[in-house]
Amino acid sequence: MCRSKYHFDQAATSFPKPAGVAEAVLDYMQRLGANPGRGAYIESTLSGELLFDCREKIGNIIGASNPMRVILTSSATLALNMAIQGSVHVGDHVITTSLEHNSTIRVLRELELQGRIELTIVTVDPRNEFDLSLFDEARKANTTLLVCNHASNVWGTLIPLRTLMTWAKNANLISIVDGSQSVGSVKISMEDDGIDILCFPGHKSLLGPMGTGVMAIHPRFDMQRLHPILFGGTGSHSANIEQPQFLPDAFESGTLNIPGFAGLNCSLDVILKKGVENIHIQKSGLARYFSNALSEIPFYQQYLDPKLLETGVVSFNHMRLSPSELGDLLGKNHGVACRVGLHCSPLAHQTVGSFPDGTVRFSFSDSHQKEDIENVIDILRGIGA
Amino acid sequence: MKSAVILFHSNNYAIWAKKVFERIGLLCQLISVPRHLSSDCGYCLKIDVENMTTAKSTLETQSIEYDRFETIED
Repeated sequence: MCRSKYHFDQAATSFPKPAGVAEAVLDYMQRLGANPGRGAYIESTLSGELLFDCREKIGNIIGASNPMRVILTSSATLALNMAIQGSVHVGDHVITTSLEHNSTIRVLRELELQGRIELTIVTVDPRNEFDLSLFDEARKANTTLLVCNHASNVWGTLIPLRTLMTWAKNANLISIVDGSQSVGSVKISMEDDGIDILCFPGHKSLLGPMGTGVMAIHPRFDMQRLHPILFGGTGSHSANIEQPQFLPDAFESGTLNIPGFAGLNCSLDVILKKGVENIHIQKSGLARYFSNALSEIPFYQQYLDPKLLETGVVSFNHMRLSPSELGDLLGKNHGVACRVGLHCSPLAHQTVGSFPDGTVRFSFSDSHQKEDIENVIDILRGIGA
Repeated sequence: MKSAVILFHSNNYAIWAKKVFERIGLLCQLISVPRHLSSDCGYCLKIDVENMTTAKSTLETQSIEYDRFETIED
């Protein structure tokens, strides 16, 4: 099988990584290779500085001023588990939306099945104007937590984050935001937007290696409201057999994926140099360009107005071929890599009417060009009705 | 000859302080925590005694939490 010529599956993971990322991973493994915080020898302290640099750069990208509150994890999924499971108590009621990825909804559903929480899923249809009154209706006396994604991984749309965070704050709820599809692609500020906890991976729009993730905490968030769910060695307070309370150690037990963070440290420089606003303009522009062009081919169905596309993601279907048939055809015959099916977000498809078959999803990077879009439109047109 | 050491609750804060000190040109060095000061397996920050006041005010301005300052014989 030939390698893909067009990698339009950026929402699953970014590829190719920027120049220098793979070299940074290799350099760490060949030249440093030490565990930070375990000794004052040069390789260990440099490893610690590398992690600090990551925290500080991430803080710059997400508008979080305290690097100690940038908790490094192995994935967004782990970060979301830590945030959700660490902030709920038995009997709490939690509100979420119908646009969530399984990395969020399965955690909440599991807690509900265990009888630990009550859960309300507010239907948020990305085609319609956002309706805050639905959240008011969902709220109960025992509601303590709101969990929502910023950008839909299926539809490429954004929720009005600041509006919803303000609502949560006024209701005295903890807010947890899944930024998996937005951090690095869309400007976000924890402090300005009022996000309590923001979870996201390093390998998607931040362009780093897999096995890297973040749980970032607002500088003024009351840490009495969040407890660790993982315990172990931190290289600090070693005489004490109880988990340290201070950050980031309280939430960073065990050895981190430092080779991965070495790569992320490099890709963060690329993001900061380009500027998230510029990346947003480029990616949303490509998505809208593709969507508008595709709408002129009669045998493809789209679900959203192109103007709503914000993250470089476009979902669509062929009138006759199933998503998997079209995806296989594109991959094997035309070198187009894309994702098909439900994209781990069944409720998002139920909301818009593409369940159970799902969609074909194209997701672009800011490195793609209009010419790439035009070429793939020709391919899609050539497939025929 | 005496030096000052700054002990932190976490190595992460020691590194944060080191980065901030370097940016303002305050000489410092990460060293293993002297055994007589703590049994922790991490490190602390060694500075010149005459820089203690500057170091303390910098840490407080930047909201970098620390445990305490100590003086040690070189």
